[in-house]
Amino acid sequence: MSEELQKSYCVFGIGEREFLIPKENVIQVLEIIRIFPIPGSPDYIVGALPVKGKIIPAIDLAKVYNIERLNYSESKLVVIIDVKGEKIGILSDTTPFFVNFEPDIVVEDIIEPDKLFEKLKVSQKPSEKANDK
Amino acid sequence: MINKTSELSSSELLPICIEEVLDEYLNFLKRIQEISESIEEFSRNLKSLSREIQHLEEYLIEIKMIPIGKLFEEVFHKVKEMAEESGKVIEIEVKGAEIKIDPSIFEALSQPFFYILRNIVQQGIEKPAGYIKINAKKKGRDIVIKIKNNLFPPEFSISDEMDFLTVKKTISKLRGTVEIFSENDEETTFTIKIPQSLDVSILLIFRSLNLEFAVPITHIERIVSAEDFPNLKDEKMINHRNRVIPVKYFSEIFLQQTDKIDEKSYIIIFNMFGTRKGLLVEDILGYEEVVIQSFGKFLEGLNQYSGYYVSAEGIPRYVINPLRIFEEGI
Repeated sequence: MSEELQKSYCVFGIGEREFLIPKENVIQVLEIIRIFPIPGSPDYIVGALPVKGKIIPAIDLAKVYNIERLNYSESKLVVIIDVKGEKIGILSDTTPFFVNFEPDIVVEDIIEPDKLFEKLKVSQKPSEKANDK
Repeated sequence: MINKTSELSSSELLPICIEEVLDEYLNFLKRIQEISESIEEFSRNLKSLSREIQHLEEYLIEIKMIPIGKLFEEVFHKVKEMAEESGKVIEIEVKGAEIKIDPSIFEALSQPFFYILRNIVQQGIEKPAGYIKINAKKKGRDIVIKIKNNLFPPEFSISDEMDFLTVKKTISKLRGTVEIFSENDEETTFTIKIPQSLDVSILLIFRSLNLEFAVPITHIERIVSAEDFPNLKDEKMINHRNRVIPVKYFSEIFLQQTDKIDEKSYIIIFNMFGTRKGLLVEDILGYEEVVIQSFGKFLEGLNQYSGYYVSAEGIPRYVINPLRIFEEGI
């Protein structure tokens, strides 16, 4: 029951679903004021957030997991995570909060940042559009 | 004169004609000789002009730079005060103070440099006197600064490590490195390696469908107005100065938009190793001198861009790579 055995997670929501991500990866939660599209990027990358002269790509997991947003307006919050030394923003429809879990409790929808990074990073392929034509 | 010639028979006329033609021909040869000489001279002038421009560019870069000794002086002042307050005598020896460095690097280096010296002075508690030897050297495009001292212990306390982390972070941001090396517990050497100047590129900024992009001016030959080429829409090529130049529409290849093509667009003509290609964009915003940021691993697959930068207004501008646009199949 000691606290050291517990693991902390950040909980955020997309549509009706909730996701958890290890707290140690979360840097901050930002409100989206301005977001700029990145032409040529996959549809789950909703854009770039300019922060201190750099850009942070923002991703929408709704596009990754085919989640429908019925009663939600456009997301205004983004959870900034640090993964593999880079910053990535994940859109959240709800205000994120932190929870602690015993390590033996099985929780669904835990995001492993490293795997997410590998799964969603833009592949080196020259262009998919060339095949469309 | 006319009367006189008219009276001459054709046989008499011929030698005069030949003479005139010969004269003309010689004149013509002389003119060609003159032209070729002036072309030669022009080409010589052009070569020397381009050399002059190169010198000027180097000179401009040079005058922008600051001798690194100035940075040392600023920091020494603070460090010596600190040492005196704690009753220590420190000798500082400097070599290579005349080496010049980019002002932006100079500024960014000030804090980590101070942290290193402060730690050296604060840590040598048991030692009332010591030396710090600083040696700056130019190595290719980098500057290597060695800070050698006999005060700093080879092992760190936690607070030092925090400081050292900050130092490391700042220096790696400048695309440099910092290392510590201890010799027989007596001498410790910090080695800082940083680029002498940041790579600045001159970019042409343009707009397409309300998004802003940039392209290095390296291969740009000229910019023409699309209005002057009414056949562009049908043929997707222009005839410019007797050259047929194929034109690609930026909005079509990057933004998959074909319907909205403004009549008042511009065509950027690139000359890539002798091959000319045109790129149609909606608006030209101007030029800017910037340091291009590279995409991280997450976005590096977007290889149609060579990087980006964030404008003073906080707008990201993606830097396109003209060589890639005109590759086959894209």
